[in-house]
Amino acid sequence: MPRKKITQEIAVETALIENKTEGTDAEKIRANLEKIKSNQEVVGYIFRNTTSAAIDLKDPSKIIDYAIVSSSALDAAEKLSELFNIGTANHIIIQGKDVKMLSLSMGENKLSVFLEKNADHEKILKKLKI
Amino acid sequence: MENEVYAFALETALSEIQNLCPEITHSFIFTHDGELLAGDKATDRKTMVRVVDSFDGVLEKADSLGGIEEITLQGSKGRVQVSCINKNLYMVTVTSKKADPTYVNMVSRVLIPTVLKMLEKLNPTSLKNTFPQKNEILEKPKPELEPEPEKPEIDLKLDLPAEVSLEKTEEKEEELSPEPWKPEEEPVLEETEEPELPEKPLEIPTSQLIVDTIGGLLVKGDTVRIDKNLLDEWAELCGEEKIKEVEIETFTGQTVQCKVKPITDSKYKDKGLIRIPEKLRRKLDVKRGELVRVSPWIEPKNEEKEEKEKES
Repeated sequence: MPRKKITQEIAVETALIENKTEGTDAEKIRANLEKIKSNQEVVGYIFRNTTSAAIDLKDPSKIIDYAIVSSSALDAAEKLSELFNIGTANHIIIQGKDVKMLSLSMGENKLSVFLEKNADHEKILKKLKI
Repeated sequence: MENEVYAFALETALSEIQNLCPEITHSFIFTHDGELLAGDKATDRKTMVRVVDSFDGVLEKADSLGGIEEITLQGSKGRVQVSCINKNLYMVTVTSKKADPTYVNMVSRVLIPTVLKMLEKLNPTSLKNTFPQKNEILEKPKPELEPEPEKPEIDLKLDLPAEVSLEKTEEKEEELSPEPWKPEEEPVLEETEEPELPEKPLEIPTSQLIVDTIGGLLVKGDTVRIDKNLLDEWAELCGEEKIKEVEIETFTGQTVQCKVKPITDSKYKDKGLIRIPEKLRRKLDVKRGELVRVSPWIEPKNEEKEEKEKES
C-alpha cells in the first residue's frame, strides 16, 4: 500500500515539471520572437502550441494563407522525415520568390517565421533556438 | 514513345547524379500538378506519391509566398530538398547528413535543368503535355481522308522533321524547327491528323535516341546498334529494303556516318537507345544518357547529288 502512494506522488510531480518546462519554453520562444520582430528582415510570425497561438504579421490580409502554408509545411516535415528516415525534423525552410518561411517544431510549440526573400535565416534560427 | 524517352533521359540523369553524389539517397521529379515525371530506382512510386501529397497544401498556397523556389527540410540524419527546376517542375533530392549541400545543389541544379533544356529544345511541346495518353491516340484506327492538312501529326515531332540534307549547320538547325511545331498551334491529338504522312514521302526520318555504350572484343568499332523496329520503320518510310547506315548528329554539331545493326540484346530493346562503340562515342564527344539525333543514311540518287553539288 505505501509503495503505491509514492508512485502516485512521483507521477503527479513529473507532470507538474513537464507543464512548467513547456510553459517556460513557450515563454522563451515568445521572448525570442519579440526580439527578432524588430529585425527589418522579419515580416511576421505564427506561433502556436496546444493551448495558445500568437500571430503577428505586417500584412494581416495574409494571415490565413500564411497559417495554411505554415501548418502544411510542418505536417510535410513530419511525414517526410518519417518516410525518408532522416531523423527528427529540425526545421523546414520554404524559399518563396517574395517571402521566405522558416518553420520549426520545438516539442509542442510550432513556429513559423516569415522573412524577406534575401534574409539570413540561419541568423534568425540561432536566435530562436532555446 | 517520346515521353518514354524523356522519362528515360531524366531517369538516366538522376542516376548519373547519384553516381556523382552517392550521398543522394533518393531523387525524383514531379510536375506542379503533382504528376510524377521521373524517379530513381531507389525510390518506389508509392513513396513518391506520398511525398507529392504531403506538399499539396504548401504548393496550393505557394502564391502567398510569391511562388516556390526551394523547400529544404533539415533533419537530424539527413536533408530533403525540393527545388523548382523550371516553371512547372520540382525535383526532390534526399541526402544523408554527410552530403555537402553546395556540391549536391551544384550537380543537381546543373545537370537536370540542362537535360530539360535539351529535351525542350528537341521538342518544346512534349514537356508541356507531360505524359499525354498518346498511345491510345496512336492506336486509334486511321480515319478516311479528312481535309485538315494544317494540323501537324504529333508523332512527327521526333520522327519526321527535316527536309534538309544531313550535314549539320546552324541554319539547318533552324530549319529543323519547322512550322508544324508552332507552339500556338498546340496540336490537338486527334485522329484527323494522320493523313499528312503520305504527303511527305521523301522526308528523311530522324529520331532522337539515348546514347548507350557497347564494348567487347567482338564489337565492331564502326557499327552502332538501334532498335530493329525503328530500322524497319525507317526502311519502310524511305522505301529501302534495309537501312545499312545511319548518320548520328550530336547537339554540339558533331556528325558521323556509320554502319547500323539491330539491337539483339533484349535488355536494351525498345528503350529508345542507340548503342555506340566506345571509340565512336569518344569521337562524337557524347556521354551515356545524352541524346543524339539519328537518321538513316541513304545514298542520294543522281539528281539529288547534282542538286546538292549546285547548292554547295
